[in-house]
Amino acid sequence: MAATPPAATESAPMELRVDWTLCAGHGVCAAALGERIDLDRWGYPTGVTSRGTPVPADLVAAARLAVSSCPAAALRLRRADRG
Amino acid sequence: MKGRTVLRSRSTVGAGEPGLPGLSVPGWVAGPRPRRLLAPGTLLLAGAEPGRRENFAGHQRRWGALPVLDARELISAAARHEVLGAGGAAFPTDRKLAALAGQRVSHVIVNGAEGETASGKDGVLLAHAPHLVIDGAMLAAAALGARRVVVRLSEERPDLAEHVAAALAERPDAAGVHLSIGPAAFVAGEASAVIRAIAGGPPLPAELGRPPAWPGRVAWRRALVMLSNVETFARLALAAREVAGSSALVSVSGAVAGAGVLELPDDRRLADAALAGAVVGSPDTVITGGWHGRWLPWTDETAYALLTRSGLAAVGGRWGAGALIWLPEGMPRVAALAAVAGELAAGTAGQCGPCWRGLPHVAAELGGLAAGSTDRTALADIMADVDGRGICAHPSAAVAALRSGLALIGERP
Repeated sequence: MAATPPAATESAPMELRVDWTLCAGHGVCAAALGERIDLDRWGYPTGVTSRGTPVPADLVAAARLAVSSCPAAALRLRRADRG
Repeated sequence: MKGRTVLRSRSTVGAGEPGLPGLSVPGWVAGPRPRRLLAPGTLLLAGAEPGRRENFAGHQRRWGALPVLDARELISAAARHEVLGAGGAAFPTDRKLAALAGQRVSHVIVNGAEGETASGKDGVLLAHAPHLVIDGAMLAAAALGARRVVVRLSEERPDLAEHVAAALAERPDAAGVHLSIGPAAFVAGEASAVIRAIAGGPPLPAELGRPPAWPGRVAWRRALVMLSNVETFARLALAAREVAGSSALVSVSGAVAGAGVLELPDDRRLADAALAGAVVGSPDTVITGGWHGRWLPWTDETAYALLTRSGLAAVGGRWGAGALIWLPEGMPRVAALAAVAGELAAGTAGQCGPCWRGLPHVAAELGGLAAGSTDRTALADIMADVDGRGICAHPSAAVAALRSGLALIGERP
């Protein structure tokens, strides 16, 4: 799960995106990436947007865990510089 | 419609889809929907006889033949005549065209879905001057090299489909123009929902490809699509002919003698629209820009605002698609606000949690406001949880509209 990503992408700025049409408010992301994600009153994640939210390098591993653990597969982590 | 393709997206009506509720206008707020042309217009609808469609011969006599423009010339004409997206976003059409020129553009889509129930201008244009709209779309298609033009309409307006089909049948040059009929839901007219539906998907908002650099430039099957509002194409057709002048195309409803559509010179003021629309009684509130618009006190200052985007913005209003709704005299604003919130909640596509969970929550809290059971701070927090989330503009725009209404109510309803 927490496999070390290739060095080439490790240094690139990453961003986390949520697909609101898939998100069902399971809340797993808030456990995996509690530093950035809280749950709102309905259980949907705050601190992440559909347009992409920058993820600092030291949280990329936690963000990967959030992505891979999401039961709805609603999260995506991608390089911020690849519009 | 003989011999002409009518695209009907797979998942429109009666296909076992979860029902997309239409945003019905609360009868007590808006009365009938503004679908009639109330008087001859001044530019797009100059000389138009309410209820009569101009045929192709009349159209050509009035405006001359369709000019031939390449992309550069059309972009330049759109810029010179300041053609803006008339569906609400007011995005400059020259920039949209410039973003698409030189790329592979498969479709030009004329968005006539008019999901905004407080607006009737697109239907009025299609019923009275369809050839102007078709001209604009064909100019864009020719300039961009798009093979198909699709006119997207709502299933609740079969009359418009007939008008457009009749207009197309009159033209020898419109073989590439088709009709597409979709559901009559508030968000079904949203640009990405229209494109998705025409591409064979559900009529629901989507993120098509990467975030579009500008509205309307979206990837679809590796080709791009130009989508603009009905009125935008009509104005583009005049810009291409170097017809100078501008006008305000407004839909008036609510506390008016007859809901409908007016075209006025754009040096007129809201008071002129109120007069022409025959506002009834002494309303104290006008909603500018439709259900996603801004609530304003109907004061002398508001009435004196110019009927333009900047004129409305100067008094805190919003142009949107040019829809004006006066609340009936004596109707408590808080009651109207709760009802409108309920309609906005019902207008959700039901795709994004913060919208379909959040807007009904907001509506319920607004319903408690009149009874005094709602805490304003808690209400503001709930609205903040809806704002800026979801994949289309509906939740954020709904909250912005409701906040403007709340601001009018003050601390104590």
